[in-house]
Amino acid sequence: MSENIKRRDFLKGAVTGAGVGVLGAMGLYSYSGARKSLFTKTDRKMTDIGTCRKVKVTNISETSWFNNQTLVGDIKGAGGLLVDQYSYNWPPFGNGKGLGKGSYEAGMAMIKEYLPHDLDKAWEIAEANSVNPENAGGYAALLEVEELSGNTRKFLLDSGWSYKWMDECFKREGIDKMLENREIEALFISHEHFDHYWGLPVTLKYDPTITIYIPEGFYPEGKQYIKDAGHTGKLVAVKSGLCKHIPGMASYVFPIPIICRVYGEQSLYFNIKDKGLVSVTGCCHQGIIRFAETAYNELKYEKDQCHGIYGGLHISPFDDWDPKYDDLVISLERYGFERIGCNHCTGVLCAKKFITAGYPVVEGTARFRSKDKAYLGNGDTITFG
Amino acid sequence: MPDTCKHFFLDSLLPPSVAENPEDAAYELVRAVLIRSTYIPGVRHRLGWCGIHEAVAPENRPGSLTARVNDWPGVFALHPEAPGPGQVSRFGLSYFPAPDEDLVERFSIEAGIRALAPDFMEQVRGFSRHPELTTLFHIGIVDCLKADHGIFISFQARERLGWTARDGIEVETPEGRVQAVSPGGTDQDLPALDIGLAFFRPLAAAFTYTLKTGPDIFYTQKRNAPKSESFLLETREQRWTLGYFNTGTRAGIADFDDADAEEVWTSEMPVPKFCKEEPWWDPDLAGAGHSVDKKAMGISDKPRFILLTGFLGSGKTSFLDRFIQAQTASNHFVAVVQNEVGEKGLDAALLDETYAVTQMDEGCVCCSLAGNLRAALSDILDRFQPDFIVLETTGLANPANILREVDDLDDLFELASITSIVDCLEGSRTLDRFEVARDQVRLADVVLLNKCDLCGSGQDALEEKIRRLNPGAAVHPTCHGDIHPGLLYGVNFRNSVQRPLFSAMGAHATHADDRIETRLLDLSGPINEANLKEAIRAGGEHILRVKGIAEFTDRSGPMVFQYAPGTFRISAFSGDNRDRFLVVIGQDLDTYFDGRSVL
Repeated sequence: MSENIKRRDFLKGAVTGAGVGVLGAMGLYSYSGARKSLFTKTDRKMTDIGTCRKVKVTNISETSWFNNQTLVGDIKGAGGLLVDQYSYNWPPFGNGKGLGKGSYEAGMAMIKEYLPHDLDKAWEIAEANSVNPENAGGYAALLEVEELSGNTRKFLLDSGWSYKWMDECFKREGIDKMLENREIEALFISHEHFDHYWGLPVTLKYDPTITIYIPEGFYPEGKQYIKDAGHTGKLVAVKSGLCKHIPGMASYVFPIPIICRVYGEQSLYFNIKDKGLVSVTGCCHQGIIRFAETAYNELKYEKDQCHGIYGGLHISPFDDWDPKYDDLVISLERYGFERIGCNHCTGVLCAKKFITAGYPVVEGTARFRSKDKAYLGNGDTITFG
Repeated sequence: MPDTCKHFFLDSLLPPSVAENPEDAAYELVRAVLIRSTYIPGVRHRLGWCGIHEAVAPENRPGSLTARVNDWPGVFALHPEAPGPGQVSRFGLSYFPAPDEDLVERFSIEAGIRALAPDFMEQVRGFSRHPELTTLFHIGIVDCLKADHGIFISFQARERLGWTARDGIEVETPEGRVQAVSPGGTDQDLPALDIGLAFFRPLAAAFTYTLKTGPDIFYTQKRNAPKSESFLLETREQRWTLGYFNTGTRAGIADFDDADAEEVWTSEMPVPKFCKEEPWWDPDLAGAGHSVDKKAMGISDKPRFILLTGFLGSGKTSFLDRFIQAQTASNHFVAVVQNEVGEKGLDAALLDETYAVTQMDEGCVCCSLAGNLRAALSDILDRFQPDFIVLETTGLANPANILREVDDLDDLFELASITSIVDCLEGSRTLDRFEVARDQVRLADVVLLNKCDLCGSGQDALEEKIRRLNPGAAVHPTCHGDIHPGLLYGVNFRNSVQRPLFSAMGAHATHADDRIETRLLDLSGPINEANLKEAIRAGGEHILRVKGIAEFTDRSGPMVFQYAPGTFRISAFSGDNRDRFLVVIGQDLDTYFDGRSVL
């Protein structure tokens, strides 16, 4: 073969001729016998988490903050996306020293005596010492799981941010009474971010004994907050991976670095009898692909069908090298969800694109400061099953 | 560095639950460094990354990812392997070349066939589902060690990774059987070390950036590569190691015990010449304290400015919606400025200020100018610190006039693009009828051919018309303005400069009878920078834009040259485009621009 003919000129569409001394053996390429690839072809684990009949999600609040430009301005002003969230000087941990100069300890010292019984007072102090306190909202949802027996069990996912806003929202949806009556079994915190977690005392005000599940990966400040906020119940730091809770309900902790010095996100899976898998997320920082692929590999679910999804949907934690694929509409398509309730960090424009693309988006009512009907908004509910 | 600082910065990468688990910590550390160093586009680009995609396969340990590195056309893949000696966290590194890259010739026949298959890039994206790919395109290994005596990151590869085929290789091609490698000939001969270092450099720079400290030790070791099989090419093998948070001690684990040559640098020594230019040295790269000081990193703090033109109804708003959504998703903030009041129906009561602001859907402010552009833009920058300013013109605006208006504003922002939207249905007629429509296309560097779904057969003719008006612009067909900004402007907003497609343009004007014309200057050798600037200045306001890749007599290497009224920008060009050219856009260039004085 002539040296000046390029391989590219003839390799296109070629196959290696079988039986003509193709290198003796393909094993040659792994020239170093010591290299053990971790790519073990494993079968799907198909862990059985049982089934439940129905899950009803009530959106207590998805408006984490009310003005995006204020939030982005604060993050930039404090030094950027890698900065520790407790240093922003956002409420409730304001110390009066201004943007980027806060600390958990100093902020907590000012409000600790009022937690969790007098949140009006605590928030008043926080407002006086924090940066842009009026911008705080929060993310929280009520999950009502109907077991096969017909018995319904209640859980909270996240506890929002602003004490003031979240207390209003809790009262609007009757969460305060449910907590007081000890109807809600446990609080799952999806991740340590301010808008999902810092409103913790609002839950504890009504039920300080509630069991709390946090993903492992919380920072010391976050763990201390649970104590300082007056929690007296059981605390479980859920290890990365699958954790079964009740028949048909499991949580999954994804180890993933997240902006503002947060690590790890816990999402919820439900297996609905005769319907399929339902996924409930806080922000889905692990990315919708990892979220859905994990379910496929880890869980056994009805009809092998992804039935529904609720929550904030992130595509990926970083920009793709091929922008062609950097699109939530494309990412979501392949999983064939039958009911989609999205909000929070999904992006209104993205939700509208789902609708345009014909996805089964359950629209909301755009009440209580939710922006658009494309979102399953504050006070709206969605039922799977 | 005192221990408290070390813990502070490590803490910000890994929470205690992960850091305290010795088996996982170093695997997770690499992943955390990669993810955190790529959040901010400016930082990411400066470190050398051009986007990352996690190859998700839940049965595998997280950390399998593909990445592109600035100026490399192919894709690197990093995937966790079983731990190396002493429980060092080990990753395999592969490089998947772009099909038209010369390196394809150096890979094995089998790899070459795979690389030229039409679905190759699809397979690369999900490479963890095609484990044979990582073997075929293997380059070297990356090790990370997190121990009491420091954090170490290493890269190890052969200078030449290759082998011969004793019996030769035949391949079946569509044209018949071809002897691809003669018996005893070379199947693969890859400069593996050099390729792998192109990935290791940004990786190590990312460690320096996220750990907020430079390395305390750097050493390279060399040995004769183990010749475990007779068909392997004889070559040297190298291992490069950087250590952080230590006192100049080596990793001591997985190091080459049989090295016969080595170079060692520790922090009290001057940096050796051969590695002075490496990107991993500067502990001040990220600025003081815990803030991301973009200025210290040489990153322009100025927002990027996009001038958006197009006739009424062409789809500017749809495009903007998409643009804002994509930017918001990556934590960017966009300010949209409309240069005429009324189009969006803003509240008239607000308009007694210099400009009025309304909140658009999300992630964006929208302003209507009612007066002084500079005052308004300065104020918008102060109030909102946007990452992007999009100036949306009305359909009838001539971008040339706006360019002149913004010509003294280059201290406020960086002109990133003039993007023009042409309606597929009406575009042809509009271009025939209105000079201003033609000017919008002539001045654009990106043209969107919108409403393609409604167009039918006229699209080719329209595209041809646009190319005749502006052979230098990138033309993208779209529907509803729906196109990812990364496809228009490049990942990190770094699309390379393309030579106009009309190679026959030469130095002749294409539109002698029109008001605005485009000229291509082919450059055969280095040109004089002062002469070029003088010629542009002499043209005054008649020269609207100059853009291209040139070599200058008083600078070394190719440069990207850009001129917009009032601003010259010259930056190093590191792509593989060998064309040297300048595109000049202006009015009556025969009179006002003396191209010969430049050549």
